[in-house]
Amino acid sequence: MNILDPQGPIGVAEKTILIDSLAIMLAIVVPTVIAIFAFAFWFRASNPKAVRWPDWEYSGRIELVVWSVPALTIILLGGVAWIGAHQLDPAKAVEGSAKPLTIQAVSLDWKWLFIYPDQKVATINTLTVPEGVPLRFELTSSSVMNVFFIPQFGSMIYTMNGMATQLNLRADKPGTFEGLSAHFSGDGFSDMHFDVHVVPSEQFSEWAQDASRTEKSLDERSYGEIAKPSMKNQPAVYRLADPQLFNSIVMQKLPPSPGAQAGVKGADLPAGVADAR
Amino acid sequence: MLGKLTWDAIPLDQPIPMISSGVVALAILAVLGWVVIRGHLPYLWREWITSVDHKRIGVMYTLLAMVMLLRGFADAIMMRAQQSLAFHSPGFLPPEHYDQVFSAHGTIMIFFVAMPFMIGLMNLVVPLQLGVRDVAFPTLNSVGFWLTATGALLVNISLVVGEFARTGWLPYPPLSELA
Repeated sequence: MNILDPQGPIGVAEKTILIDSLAIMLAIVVPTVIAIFAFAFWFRASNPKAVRWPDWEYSGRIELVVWSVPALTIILLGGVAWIGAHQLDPAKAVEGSAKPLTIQAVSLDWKWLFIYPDQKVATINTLTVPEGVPLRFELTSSSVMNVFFIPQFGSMIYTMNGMATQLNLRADKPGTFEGLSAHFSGDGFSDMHFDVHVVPSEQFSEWAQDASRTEKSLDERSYGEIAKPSMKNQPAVYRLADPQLFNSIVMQKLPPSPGAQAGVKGADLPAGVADAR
Repeated sequence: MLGKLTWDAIPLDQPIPMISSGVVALAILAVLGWVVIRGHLPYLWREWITSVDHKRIGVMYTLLAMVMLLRGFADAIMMRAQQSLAFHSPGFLPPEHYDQVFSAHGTIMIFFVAMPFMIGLMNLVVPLQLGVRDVAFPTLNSVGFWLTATGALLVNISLVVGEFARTGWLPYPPLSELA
């Protein structure tokens, strides 16, 4: 969860922006706080040197300070944000050691479905990615808005029904990291967590080969079962039987998830839904 | 007359809303009883409820804000208690109830605490600062307060009757259309 311990180039750049903006803002905050105490001390009743000028009205030097410092701060902060926003455009490709791996993410009520179209694999609430390879995410939602966020990789991005968003990331160190939904999406929202396993490239190929031979297959019918609302789903792996599944979801050829209807208690789902995987 | 409203809308099986609404109803009855028995009702009606005095309206706005602050504070206690108890356990609130509590907390704290408090202070102070006798439209000012109070009443009734929104206090569509 630690954004101060980033594990990829996007996360590192965002940490730099965070610290830079903090430093720029502190450059104004710290002198102001010191000045409050300094002025209060200097203009104490017992200081004979502190003069009162009731008729004073203008000082060019004070005007210069009170206008130039905030203007410089805004220019600096705005510059950092402007340049960073362009450099870290989520749709911009990231460099890496191999050609990009495409992962299609679908936020469902209330779990994450990840589709690896080239590897013919799909997973629920677990993500396995190779180290050092650019990751090209395409994201959508089958129901309400969610935010896809792996804090240590950087860049949150919204998932929305009927459209696809893009995100490019890279993971540089092997390990297991946490991912989550960062936008409130209903009753099961707080359990929309997933583990991200970063493994060396060869190990990823092995994993993908094993997974593509899994018995459980993901097609339109089994997707219909998965899309029904359920909470606290355990990670699961599928063989991808329908490579066009993501497009069908985005283009709404497959109907959107029914969602949590008003008056329906979120946890009270028809028996067997959770076992349909 | 009541349309879709039936007894099913009252959560008789849930102790938290039933007990808390019972306590609130008792408190309201006790205050009303005290007002009536001690004969304060004519004074209250003439000097406060129908008053168009900006200072009294300001005081009533502030009082409403304070009562609702207590209400929002109760929500905050419930949310924090749930968060502290729910580590590796489900806690005492199911998700659909927790979502209602935090939606209600946000709505009440902004619309019935922050706003009435600001408007109450403005009502009290601004005419005095300007040195005028009252605000420009005193009756409209009074109507404004009583509509606010009615809104607060309706929002609080909907916590017991039927379900409160489960959408958070920034009801984003499409979630706000569904839940």
